[in-house]
Amino acid sequence: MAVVVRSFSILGVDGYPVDIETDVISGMPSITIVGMGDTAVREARERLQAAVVNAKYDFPSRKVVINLAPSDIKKSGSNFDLAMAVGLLVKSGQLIVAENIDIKDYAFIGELSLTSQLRPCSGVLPMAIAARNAGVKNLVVPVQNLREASHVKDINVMGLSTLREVSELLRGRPMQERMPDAAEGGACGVVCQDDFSEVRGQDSLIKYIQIAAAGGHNMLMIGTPGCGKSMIAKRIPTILPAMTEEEALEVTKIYSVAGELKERGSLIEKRPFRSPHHNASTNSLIGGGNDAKPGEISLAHNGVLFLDEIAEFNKNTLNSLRQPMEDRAVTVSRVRHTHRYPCSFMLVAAMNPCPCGYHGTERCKCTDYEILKYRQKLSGPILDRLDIQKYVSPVNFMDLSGYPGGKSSRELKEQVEFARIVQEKRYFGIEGVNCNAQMNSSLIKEHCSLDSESMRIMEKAYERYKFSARSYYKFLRVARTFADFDGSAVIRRQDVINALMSRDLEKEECGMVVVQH
Amino acid sequence: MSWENKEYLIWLTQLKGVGPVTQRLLIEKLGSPAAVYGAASEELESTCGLSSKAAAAITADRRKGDTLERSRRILDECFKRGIKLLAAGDPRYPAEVAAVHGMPVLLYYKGILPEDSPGIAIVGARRCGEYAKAVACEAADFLARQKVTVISGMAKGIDGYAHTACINAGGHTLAFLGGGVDVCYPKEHDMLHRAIIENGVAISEYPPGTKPYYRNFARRNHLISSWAQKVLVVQAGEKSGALITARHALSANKKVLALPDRTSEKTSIGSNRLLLEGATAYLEKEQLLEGLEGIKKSVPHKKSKAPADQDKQAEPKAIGKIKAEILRLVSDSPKTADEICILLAGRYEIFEIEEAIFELEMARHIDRRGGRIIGGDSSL
Repeated sequence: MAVVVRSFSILGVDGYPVDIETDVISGMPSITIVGMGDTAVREARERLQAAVVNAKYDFPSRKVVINLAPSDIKKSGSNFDLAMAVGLLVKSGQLIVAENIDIKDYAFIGELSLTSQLRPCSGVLPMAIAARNAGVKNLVVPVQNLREASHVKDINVMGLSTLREVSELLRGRPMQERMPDAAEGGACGVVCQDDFSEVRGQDSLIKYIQIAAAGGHNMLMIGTPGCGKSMIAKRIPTILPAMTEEEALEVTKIYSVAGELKERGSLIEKRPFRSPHHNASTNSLIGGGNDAKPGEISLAHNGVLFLDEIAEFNKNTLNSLRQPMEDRAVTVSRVRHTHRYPCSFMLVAAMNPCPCGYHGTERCKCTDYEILKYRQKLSGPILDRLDIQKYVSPVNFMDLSGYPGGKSSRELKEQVEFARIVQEKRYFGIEGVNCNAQMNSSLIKEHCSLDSESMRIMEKAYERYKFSARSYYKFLRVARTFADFDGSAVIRRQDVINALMSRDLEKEECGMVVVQH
Repeated sequence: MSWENKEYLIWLTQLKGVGPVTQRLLIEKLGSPAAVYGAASEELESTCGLSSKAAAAITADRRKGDTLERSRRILDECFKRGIKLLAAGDPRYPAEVAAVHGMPVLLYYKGILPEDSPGIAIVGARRCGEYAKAVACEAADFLARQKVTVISGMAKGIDGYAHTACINAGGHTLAFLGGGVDVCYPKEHDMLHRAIIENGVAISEYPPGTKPYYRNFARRNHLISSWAQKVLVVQAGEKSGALITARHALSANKKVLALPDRTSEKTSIGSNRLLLEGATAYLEKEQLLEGLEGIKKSVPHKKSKAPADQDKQAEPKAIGKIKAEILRLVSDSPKTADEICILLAGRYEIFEIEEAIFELEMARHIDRRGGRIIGGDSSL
């Protein structure tokens, strides 16, 4: 009878159980691995052979067949090595499992080195979650992945470093408990962070950034080169409310699958900030590639996706953001895989106001037609998803000392969190709506009624700036956030005024000397 | 003169080595382009006094065989694209323009070309400043409202603004192009190009599809100055094409207005120098109409009272005071909203200042440019 050892693999961002069946049958001495493995899996037989021998075991000189079930899903990676080795040792009778241990309660994840050491692998967190969900009681992982895996509750995770240790464990010998290194955790916590107090003379802009952060609005910053757009964008994650544990786990899962967990598998607690360069391909942004990896938008899940120089991005690449932004998840389909990656991010974009970059100053001689053409690189639907468009004015650095110091990120964050709580209460129990930016038209009707005075202001502004009809709901959403920010139950006159000031580009374009079409 | 056979006319204008002056001479001496086509080499030399070289060029071209075919193709192309021909002698080709030495005998146009279409040219730099832009727009807008045609060259900058402001004010505009009338150059003017054809006319001496070669533009500028009754040079650099227009106009004893600008402004060196060369300083828009014949001066209608005035009484006094202070601040130099807030901080609440800025913007007392607040078109 074949020996069955449990292991796990990754599909999309989730793990799924894989049973490693090992049998030793009579025939020419050989080792065959079946079950749709890729090159890494197929090469495991060489690693296996060397590792078993180097761990002072005998490699059976008969025909070894290993099956990775379910056999109809493509599997990749080297994380099955350990389970295969355990299966082989048990089957060949070199490892006798203690009587009080049921091998079905154990799952094994890890790559083997030729010296029979365990090597870390990617995707351990989602596999550990899948293991818990599959009812596995004990999970054996390489010691380097221990931190990452131990974020999962209700499962006993053991970090071991050699094949010998694993076999000792199964023989029922007491193991020295290894805990994730505390010192490492401490080192991660003291990462020196950017702070908004370093940004000076941009108070009104920061207010709008707070609003964007509080209401989940996407934002576009327009400004001359060197006026501080990137500096400000980098600090946005510091004022976003702290992630809940569930959110942190989601983010860590995605990073684990992408193989980007750097801090030795500690839980990612800081909201991610991703700023892909503007020559990024569609696949690198959305996700994809041969084996369908999460893209930048998924890596920015629960955080900020910052697109600097958004006008320089490929138009098709930008347009491919439309649907994921709407659904807050992206489905990547390849011939063999269809994966769904979450991507609920706050889009922050930055661009220059005109081709030369210095619009509004003496040195800019771009014509209005050129400016419009430049801005048309941002398609309407994308511009439509950017609720707030604000100018970033360059600060005269000689006067910098004259500006009062800005508020610290902590103060700003408290205000943002306050507004978030207001919204959470309001949208409690409504599926898929957490913040004002996600309000649909019926919710807007319910929560964004204006009094006659505000209505009149709105009408006047529309008359003056010829805003598009679709921007009406945007103004209401932003006005709602302004009201929530001050804890006001109704939308006040000043909220409407502030909201109406949030679309600088459209306002400016209305004043341009171009023919109307 | 008979202008019946248009393909012969096109053939004549497409001849290499025969310029517009000779073309005109040939038609006058021989009666029609078709006659030129049929004339023998000796006839060309003796009757018209052509050099033997020029005459040989004509006869050589004729012998090629497909030369008329090419003219017919151009004609077909014009028909397909709705482009019309305008030959010297046509009532819509002003006689005084045709009389100018070196004017083309054949023009192509697309759009609406009324019989009496002289106007005033507004020309200037492609890379112009804010001030020049505002002046060009104001002048074009004024002319449009006075029902005077605005003539320009559809280039970037001043030319484009002049056309645009004229069209937006409902006026008639004439654009002279350096390429075929169906070729839009610069590319970003495609909307403007279409609007010009709908609300005015694009004219060129080059057949459809001709690319705007740089050497074409000097001739186009000459056309502009011949067609215009006056030329306003808003801003021109040291070697600007607008200067060609202005100098042609000056030598034809036409009035040239030039906008004086700071001596330090590089893009205004040419227009400033024009003032020394006989141009008049442009100080007010009424100068554009002085001495113009056949133009009825409509009484400038007074601006209807803005409804904002009614609001003013209703608003609290504090806001009115802030507004006045803001206007004073931005009249010196453009300021950001933050700078205004800092300067007025302590005396007023932030939201009061924001509201004041908003209302000033609504009433067009202030405007924004690149995120900065600047003074608008009228004071409080």
